[in-house]
Amino acid sequence: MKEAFDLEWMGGVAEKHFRKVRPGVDELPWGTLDVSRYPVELVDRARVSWTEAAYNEYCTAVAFSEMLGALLAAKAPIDLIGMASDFMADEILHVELTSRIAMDLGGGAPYQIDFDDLGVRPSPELSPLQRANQLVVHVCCVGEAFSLPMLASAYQSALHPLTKQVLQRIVHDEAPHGRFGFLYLDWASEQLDDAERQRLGEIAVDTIELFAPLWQRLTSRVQDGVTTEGYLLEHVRELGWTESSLYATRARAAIEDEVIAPLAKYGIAVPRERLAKLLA
Amino acid sequence: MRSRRLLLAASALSTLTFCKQEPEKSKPLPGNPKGTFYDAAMASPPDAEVLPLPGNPKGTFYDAGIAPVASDAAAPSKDAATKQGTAPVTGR
Repeated sequence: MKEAFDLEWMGGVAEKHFRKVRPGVDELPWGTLDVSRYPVELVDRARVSWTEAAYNEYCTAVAFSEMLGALLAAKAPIDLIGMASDFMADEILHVELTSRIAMDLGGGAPYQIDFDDLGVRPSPELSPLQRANQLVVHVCCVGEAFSLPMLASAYQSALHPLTKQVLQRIVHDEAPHGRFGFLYLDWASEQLDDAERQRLGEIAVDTIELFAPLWQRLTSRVQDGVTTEGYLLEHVRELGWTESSLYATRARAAIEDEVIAPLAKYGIAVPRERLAKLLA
Repeated sequence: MRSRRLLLAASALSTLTFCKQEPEKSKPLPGNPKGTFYDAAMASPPDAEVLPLPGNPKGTFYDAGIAPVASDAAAPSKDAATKQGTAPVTGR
């Protein structure tokens, strides 16, 4: 059932405990984004964008919860599972941060979501190790490894103290998430046969294929500090975005440097022919 | 009864500059790409029943192709913006 992407906050004891594990949130400069500085259409786009960011963080939390179950079923090392367990709180914090920016801008965008259908479930016919391999490659080796440099780019671009500090926090937290994928492969690698490595290469390129529209469809350009659509680059950056042509360049580099090359070290080769089309 | 407090509350967008087009089907996708970026087409319908988020899991789709209804209104040229004030580039 689809419903509005509204998120509830309980407060009280729950908030107190959450703040204990993830402090420093209320100190951020909330309420300082002056929406009257920006064209109303641009504020709408920012509301859409930050709502999407909250949604993506929410979905990543779902993906991590499934990954944790798979790691336990695969009898992965306990300290490795403990490391990944901490990521859940990171993602939930990021849901909070991105949601609060959307609210500061005027509210969440009116998306309709099926909250019961946000995760990915590998085939039950796969072994526990294969399920864990698949989720780790999807979520960490591709998704999080790609996301980190893109978030860092948005952080470097951001000009407003609120968007800057929120992105700084997210970048700081996300760094171990991508790293985790390759730590997992350090452990699992000896158990992977050629067929499994080939399957994981296909999973990686399938995931990249889903991301590719992000950099292939960008059309906006900047000239003399103004976007094609007539918005000041300064405003775009204050609202926490990376300018699109820069995003496209960095996204392609991130796929090559942060995803393809590290996977290759574990004998997981992404099919070059498919990849070439995606990075064109 | 405890009052319900929302962290994120959806509300209508202020402008009707976006139209709905047939969404593309996407495969399920965990590990969503993050990092916000600005582009011309990164908008969604204000009453979306669909979920046009980039890189989201299961049964969803990406809406980069959802374009402004009226390109002049949603994406004014630099001249239009500065001369007619439809999208003030200098802020308000």
